[in-house]
Amino acid sequence: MGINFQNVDFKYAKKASHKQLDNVSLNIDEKDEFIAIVGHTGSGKSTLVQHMNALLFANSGNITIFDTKVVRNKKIKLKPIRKHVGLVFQFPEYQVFETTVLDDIMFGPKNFGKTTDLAKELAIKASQLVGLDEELLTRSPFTLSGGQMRKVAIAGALAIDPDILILDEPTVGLDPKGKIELMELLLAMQNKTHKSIIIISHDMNIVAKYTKRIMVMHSGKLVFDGSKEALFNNEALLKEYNLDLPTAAYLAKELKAMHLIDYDSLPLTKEELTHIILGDSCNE
Amino acid sequence: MFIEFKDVSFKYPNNDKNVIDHLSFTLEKGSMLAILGHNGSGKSTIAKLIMGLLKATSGSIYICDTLLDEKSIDDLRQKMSIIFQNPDNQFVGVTVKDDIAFGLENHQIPRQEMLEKISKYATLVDMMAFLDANPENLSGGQKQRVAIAGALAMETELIIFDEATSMLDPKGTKEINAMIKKLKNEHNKTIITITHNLEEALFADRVMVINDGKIVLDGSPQEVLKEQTILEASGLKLIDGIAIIKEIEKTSLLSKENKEKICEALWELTFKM
Repeated sequence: MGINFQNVDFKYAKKASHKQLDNVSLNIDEKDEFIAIVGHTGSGKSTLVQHMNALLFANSGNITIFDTKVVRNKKIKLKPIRKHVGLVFQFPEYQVFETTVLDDIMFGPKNFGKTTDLAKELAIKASQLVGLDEELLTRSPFTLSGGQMRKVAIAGALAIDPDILILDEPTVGLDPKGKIELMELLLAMQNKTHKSIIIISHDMNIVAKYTKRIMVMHSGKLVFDGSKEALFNNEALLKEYNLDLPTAAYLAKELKAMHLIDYDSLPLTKEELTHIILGDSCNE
Repeated sequence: MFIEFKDVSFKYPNNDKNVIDHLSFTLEKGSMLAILGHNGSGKSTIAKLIMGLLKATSGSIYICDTLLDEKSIDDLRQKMSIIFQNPDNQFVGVTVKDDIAFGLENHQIPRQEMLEKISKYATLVDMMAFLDANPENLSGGQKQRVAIAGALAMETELIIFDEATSMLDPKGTKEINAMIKKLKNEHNKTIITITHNLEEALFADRVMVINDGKIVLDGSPQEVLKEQTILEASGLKLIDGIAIIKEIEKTSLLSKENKEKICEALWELTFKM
């Protein structure tokens, strides 16, 4: 179950010289995964996730999503696949279109054949999950702030009740408080529902704090797939793919070099680093 | 003074709340000001007021000692340019060259002079190799650099960067911040950056923190960073290094000497990043 890729290749144009996905194999569990896909612009991150809910189809290799083999074939129904895997695009606030927030969130479940009553129930539940004020539901989505609109778009994806939720750069353009609020909300939702969450992100501080597993894309290849600890301790790999350390890890390394602190495992968040600094002195 | 705000307020029609609330400040020529605030604090409204894209509800704005009003606005706009958040929304040309030329053509600059300016400023932003490229095929950082070249070609004294990096990836963000530093240090431009990232305010001469349309902090980056309580109350997230200093200062677990050494190191590292 979940998502499985075996040797997946993809090119946007048949004659294109390089592949957008190049021999990608991966396996994503349907429960409790919190994955970050990182890599530079143009590395294939968005192309990769669009294969995960059958918006794009592999040129070769196999993709299985919840026991359904995904191929470009009219006999295969794509709706059940998209019911399993929900995808929230970058800047989803540009995609809200209904007259009220509630209608907008109800669009997904209605599209998947739910009755109006049930769709409304699912929409209200989803809006509670993302922490939208009830009084906002009757307003036009266009009167909301950027952060609120993004919550509406995420609620829209959640109302379909997918098993796996993918978000393409969910925190871009939000202010620092909005970023943390959104990530805390995803984390709380996962603790409650155990849905797997996949985010595309460039923000290593967010990646280090909230995700467990990291996939690094480079020129269409999946060049790293492992724990965040394994990635951030692999200096050669970070250098090769020009990836930043989380701020706390950078500070920790510098402080260690100055002999001001010592540690066995590299701290990745400011909480971990604070603990090391304060904990150190206890042992002296 | 390049800019002077005298008791400026602004509110949208049909709304009682002042987005900008009795704001007064001055900005000297050749200096760099960072305006910092959370989304909705009013910081971008200040940029729009300076550019004359919005009209103050009350109070007065002076640009180079001239009152900004309907009569003076066209002349005063020649002194200012603005780089917006989304590079995709500011492109008008089919090639990078056309795009940089757009403002110059509007001002009917002779062709030879125009070509000289294009190559001068494309070189400055390191985009000479892309003059014939379609802007759509550029990275976010490259697009913003083209927008900067277009602004520079107008040879305005003031350049405003309105969250110019917030849609860019880390590489693009670094490119643009390096460019802003270069314009400040080598070209003596008057610069305003509008941002919600404390990191991007660190290399300004002066930082103004806006909350609810009011100035809540105004000083050097070092002075402003010390006011952690006000920064947090203004909806800004402390830089990790500074947040850790705050935790360390509260503790009795470390010796005074150790505390000072680590805090000093964290402070310096934060400004070095």
